[in-house]
Amino acid sequence: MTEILSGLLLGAGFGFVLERAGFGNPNKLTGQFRLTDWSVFKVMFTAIVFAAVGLMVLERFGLVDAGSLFVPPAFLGAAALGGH
Amino acid sequence: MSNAKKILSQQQYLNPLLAGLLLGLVLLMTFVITGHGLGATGFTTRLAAWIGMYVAPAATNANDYLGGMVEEGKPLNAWITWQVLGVAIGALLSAFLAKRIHIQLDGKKFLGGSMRPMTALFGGILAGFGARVAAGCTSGLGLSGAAVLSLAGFTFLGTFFAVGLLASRFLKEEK
Repeated sequence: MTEILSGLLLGAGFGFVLERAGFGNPNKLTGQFRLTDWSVFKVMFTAIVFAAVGLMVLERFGLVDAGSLFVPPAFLGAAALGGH
Repeated sequence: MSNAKKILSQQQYLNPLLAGLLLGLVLLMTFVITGHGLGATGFTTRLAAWIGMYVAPAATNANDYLGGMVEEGKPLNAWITWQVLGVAIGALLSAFLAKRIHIQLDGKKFLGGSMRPMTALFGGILAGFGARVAAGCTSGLGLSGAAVLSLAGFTFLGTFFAVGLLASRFLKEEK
């Protein structure tokens, strides 16, 4: 039950913020690749830096166990090919 | 309502840096609560396994990748299913509040109006294929993977932006 609730609530937060940022509009991504609109880059990297620093701080205070976090395995060739 | 009026009545998109902070907060909360990040194609893969279970059960069971998911007969029984459902609800709510709900084909001047759904479908198939090769999509590997500072996440993001930049050079401008 808590799994269903956390999935629905965190997912709703994710979807709400993505729509607010304009990611419901495919022209945002095209604009990023044409370098006419930098919002995709700004949103993604702000989020990554915030979450990464946040995890580091929470780990320092012992609120998060870094060892139990899921880290994608480093199949670098596959990740690069998939990024295409 | 004319198009110009429709656009005027819409709310502006959120400032990218503020949206990024909020997205980072949701991502951080997800890691703290569940131990993993946010995703999207994890669900579509499970959906493919679920459809395969009914349409082609023998082939799905024999498949190295999908077989494991249908073993217990409930490929959709996973956290990510609820998360993706939540994404749809959250995005719908946001679009409704910002008066952005209407049906349209984006960029229909590009590659001919009637061909647009087909080119979009082809792009979607390519993106889905790439996400399984990389074992993650822009959300699962790019965003969540980079937030835990994984090499795979940054490798994905680097090639994602680099190849996207290159590929868009080879396609016609929209106007």
